[in-house]
Amino acid sequence: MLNDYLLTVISNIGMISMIAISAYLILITGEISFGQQAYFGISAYAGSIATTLWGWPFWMALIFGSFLAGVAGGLISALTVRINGIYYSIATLAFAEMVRLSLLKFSYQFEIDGEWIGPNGSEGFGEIRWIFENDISILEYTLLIYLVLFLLIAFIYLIEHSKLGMIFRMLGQDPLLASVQGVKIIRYKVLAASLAGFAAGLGGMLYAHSFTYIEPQIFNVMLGVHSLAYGLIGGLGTVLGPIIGVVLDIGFLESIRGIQGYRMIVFGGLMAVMLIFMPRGILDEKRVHRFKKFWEGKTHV
Amino acid sequence: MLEVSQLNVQYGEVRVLENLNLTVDKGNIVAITGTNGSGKTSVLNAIAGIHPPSSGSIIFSNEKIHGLPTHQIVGKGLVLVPEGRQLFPTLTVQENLMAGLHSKGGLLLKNKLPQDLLKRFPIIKNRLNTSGASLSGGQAQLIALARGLISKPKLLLLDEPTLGLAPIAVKEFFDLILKLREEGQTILMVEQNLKQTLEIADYGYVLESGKLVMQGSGNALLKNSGLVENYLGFKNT
Repeated sequence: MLNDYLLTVISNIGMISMIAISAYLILITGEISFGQQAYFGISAYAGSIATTLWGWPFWMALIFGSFLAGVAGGLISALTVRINGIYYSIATLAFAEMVRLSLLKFSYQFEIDGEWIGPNGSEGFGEIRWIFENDISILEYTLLIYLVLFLLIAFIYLIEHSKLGMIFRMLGQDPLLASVQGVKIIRYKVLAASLAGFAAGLGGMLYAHSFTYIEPQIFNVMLGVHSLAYGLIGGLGTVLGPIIGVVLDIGFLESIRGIQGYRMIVFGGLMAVMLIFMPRGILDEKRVHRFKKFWEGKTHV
Repeated sequence: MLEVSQLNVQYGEVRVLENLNLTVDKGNIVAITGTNGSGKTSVLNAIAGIHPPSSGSIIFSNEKIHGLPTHQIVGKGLVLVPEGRQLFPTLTVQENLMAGLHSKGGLLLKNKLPQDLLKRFPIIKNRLNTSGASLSGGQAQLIALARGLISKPKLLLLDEPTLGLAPIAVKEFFDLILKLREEGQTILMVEQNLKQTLEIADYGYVLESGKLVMQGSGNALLKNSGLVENYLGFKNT
């Protein structure tokens, strides 16, 4: 049987995979965002307010939180679309810090059964009790997380194998060359950022309901840096790449108790080695292409 | 077909093109030549909307196009094959070619490539699933030209298309350009192989420090000893 610790690790992998996919979507369009944790946080707060304070159904709150994160992602992208490289990265980091610091001042509480409930600045937001009120077990919630993750992966897979996915990669490889093919750069960059915000939002809302407590400090820059690193380690050739990165970090490094104190050192070292020897990760475009060719060859026999 | 009048382009404080006038007639090959830094690429970038002009007008097929964003200009049938940016490296040859159909709304991954294109560029057929990064410079340039032609543009802008190619590949490239002209394709090209370019060009413009210093038919420019010695750096024999 799966014990609670193992289930927590597995559910963590599922939720963090969503923000890793979010950072991956920005990476394949050629930019590096240090701010995806902002959308994770926005949805965590918005979705939790919707279920806990407004009594919304879980699925509606999940869509609401993620939608809000997607709109924020699109908005920030529209404002920063004319800058790129390190300037874009700094702008995303600044926005994420702005969100985190705003949450430290954000208070929105209702009195429920004689108790004040809701986000209250640095004290955070506790009593997100949807799991308990609906008698959901850890296993059931883990399955729910993986259902959402599966739907997200399927959606991104469809995008990657469509015209849109090709445009995202064109933008990532050479925006000028893409523009002379007639691609509307701004439109597709904003669309990618909105999708990325939505993906991070899904993870954030699920995270808040899994841990039943959130505080602004959770959504700090380290979450953004990790989500970025997952794609760079796992690979930028397929949506499965960032998930491999998450599994390696959370499933392997975090779970081996013997290296607990050294996890960040090992992770940093792994990151450095990957950037030197496999700059676009384990499942980079070349390997994915070779695998596809091999697979097609096999199926044609 | 294309009329550029009093075109001025600035990069910050630096003026790179000054009061440039240029015309391209339908079915012609027009060449822009000049020394390094004379502003040749800036002319194409201004026409394609990559770097909008600070003043002047650009009329294409009786429509003003200056100030329009690049994607709208592409939609009007004016396609640029930029210098040194041949293919998207991780996309396959097929995907690279399909990218050229984006402006026609035809960027569908399962689309079949036009037969006439496959005939004209036999290199494509066996390399459809090869990634752009694994092609040689000459092959990549041919694919880039094929992508430029796939949407059947009214005007094709070529920026240094033979840069870095071996002499035999350069000859093949110019033969192809001549064939395209025979079929009625209009071409405006910036090229460093000046002698070969002027030999095939119907008309040529010579730039120096952003200013037009000479113009005339390709043959006339080749016979102009001043141009040959001062700008092209070789003696006409």
